Amino acid sequence: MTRFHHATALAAVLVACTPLDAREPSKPIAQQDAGTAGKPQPDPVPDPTPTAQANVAIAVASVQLEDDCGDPPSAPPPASEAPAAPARPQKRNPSAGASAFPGSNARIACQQSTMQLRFTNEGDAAVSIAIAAVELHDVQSASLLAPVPSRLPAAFTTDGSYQPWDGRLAAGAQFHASYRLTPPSWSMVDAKLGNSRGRELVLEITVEVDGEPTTVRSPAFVRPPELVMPPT
Amino acid sequence: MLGAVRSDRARPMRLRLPIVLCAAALSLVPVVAAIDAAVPDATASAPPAARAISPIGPSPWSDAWLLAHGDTYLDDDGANARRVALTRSLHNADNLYARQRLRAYGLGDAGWDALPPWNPRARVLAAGDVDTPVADTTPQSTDAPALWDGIRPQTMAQWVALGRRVFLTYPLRAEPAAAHAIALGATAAIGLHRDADADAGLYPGLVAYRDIDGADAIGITCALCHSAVEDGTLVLGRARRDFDFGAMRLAWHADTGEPVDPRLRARMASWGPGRADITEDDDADPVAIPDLWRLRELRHLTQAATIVQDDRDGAATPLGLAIRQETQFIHAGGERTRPPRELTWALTMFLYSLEPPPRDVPQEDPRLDRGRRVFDDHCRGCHGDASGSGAAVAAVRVGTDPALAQGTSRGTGFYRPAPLVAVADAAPYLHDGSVGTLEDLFDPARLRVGFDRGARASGPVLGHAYGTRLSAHDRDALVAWLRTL
Repeated sequence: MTRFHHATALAAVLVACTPLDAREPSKPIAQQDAGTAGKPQPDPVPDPTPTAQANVAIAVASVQLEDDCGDPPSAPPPASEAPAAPARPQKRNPSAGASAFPGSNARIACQQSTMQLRFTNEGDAAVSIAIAAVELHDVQSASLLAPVPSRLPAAFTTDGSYQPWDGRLAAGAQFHASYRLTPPSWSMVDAKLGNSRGRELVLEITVEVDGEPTTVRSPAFVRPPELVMPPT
Repeated sequence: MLGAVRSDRARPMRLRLPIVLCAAALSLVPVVAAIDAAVPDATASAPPAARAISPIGPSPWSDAWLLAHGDTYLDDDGANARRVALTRSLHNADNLYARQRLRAYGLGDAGWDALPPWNPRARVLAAGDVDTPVADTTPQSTDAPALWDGIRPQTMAQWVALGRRVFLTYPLRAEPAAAHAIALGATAAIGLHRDADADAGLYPGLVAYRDIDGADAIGITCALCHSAVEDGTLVLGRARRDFDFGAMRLAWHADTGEPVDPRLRARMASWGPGRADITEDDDADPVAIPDLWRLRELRHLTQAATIVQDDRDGAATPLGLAIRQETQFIHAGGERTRPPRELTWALTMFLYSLEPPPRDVPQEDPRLDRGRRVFDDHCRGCHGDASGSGAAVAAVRVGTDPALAQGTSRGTGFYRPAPLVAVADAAPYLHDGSVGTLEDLFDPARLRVGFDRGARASGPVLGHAYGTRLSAHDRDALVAWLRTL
């Protein structure tokens, strides 16, 4: 298992003014998080006219480059189709633990790679947010090591969970967003670096606000030792 | 010093020594003397020292002092105070624990401060969860109310009450292995015993909750390792020394076929009950789960003295523990949310409130006077604080297994002298739980080839040779006295 935690300390103010042509797939809802209570609600209808006054602050909260555990089903199965809990067996049943609890089917040994960003729309019009690219770079050589594809944007909602997000951000709103990441092939990275462990690395994240790209860069981080205990 | 009284705290005085002995000890430990003399103490013979930990305001570590620090921690949106407290609380800024936090915590408008606060909907496990298959009942967690109502407590009692709820209910992370054990009825085999305390749930430390991706899960809380049932009563703060975390995980791997690195498998199998390795390096350095008594009396937190809480030189702050709890929740949860700071402050106040349960202590044992003198002569130099702990000691001097102290994860090069609060109930001993009894701790045979009573393995258990050269009579007296603490 590889575990690769780091958090960035970066905030950027972006001005959006150009069309978006590399947008992530839109998701059905855009809910407002608890921190935006009392502020304008997201516009359910995308504004086709990007505004030059769009003004979005981006804070990179955290990044985890670990594993790719696959994506959850789009909807939970009906209760009648939920896997049955195992009877109390004389001999333990392989896979019983994974199937018994719908919410615990994330494997212990698999930690999904993600990145978390906070968007604050300080402008006077709704905007669209999209991640155009995420790249892993080596600090020492300033070289590109690998792309890190992102997917499934989600926003933290008032019910206390990340829900699919269509990237729309209303004027005055603040969203905490999370994206799944596909980590690089570390063997390929090691082929370039010799050994990626112990090397300082960074992520470069290109964010598009109404199509206007801006790249934000994470501070350096170091891959942890190879053999770490599962988090507790 | 042993026996010092903090101003407005009521607690048993089992560690109190005669004034004459206190004075002698203070003369040997001048730094401790200066600090403790600055705290009002009706029984202390030394005059107040000129220097105090805090120049104004309530006495350090009093409830009023803690509440004043709470305002600083809670309202520090710009992160200045928390960042300073983090930096000052790190004994070794170069270990993984420190670097991880310095990269991400207390940055104000970025890093972990920019994560969304998560007020979970979680509930303790109830009888129905285990009397019927858990899979059928976990969705009920969606009906659980939010852990916190959003109203900031005002009094210490309110903070402690909320903190108790956090201790029992705030999920550190999902734990499929625990859910697996419940589903199979295999909890007793790993030391998870049912408890009838409805407030804490049927398995204290296990909760059903809605996770941050909207799924129902079984999670673990602080109480999993730091609560135990004694004589039918749940004791919060007591290490759960019969809980075998490694066996629980290994059973899950074995049953599910989920791969595990052979080296990890071997390490988890080596833990045994009451031990775990939660460090983030590839060292094998499990620790004995500690009791959580009288934390506010400690200079350092963690056995490796990773966090400086009170350096006795003017840098005393409860924010170090609060930040430790906050960042632990953040990291254990995958660094995708953070707890509201009200909840981590409440947890901190709850932890500071923990006292060991009262117990019968022999008072007429003729060995006690002798044992107390032996302690003064041979132990107090390191175990001189009110809790029986003291300033961190270089690991090379202690001589116990250096893996934790010198490890890259939380290592500082030092070990914290073990607190001696209710030490008779704290076996096994040493940071890694390698010595089974107090008698063995001082038995010179422990250090020799052929010793076969090690708590974890046969063979000598090296290090902490202090007391092993005492006569058998003095060792017996010392152990008798330690059992009164």
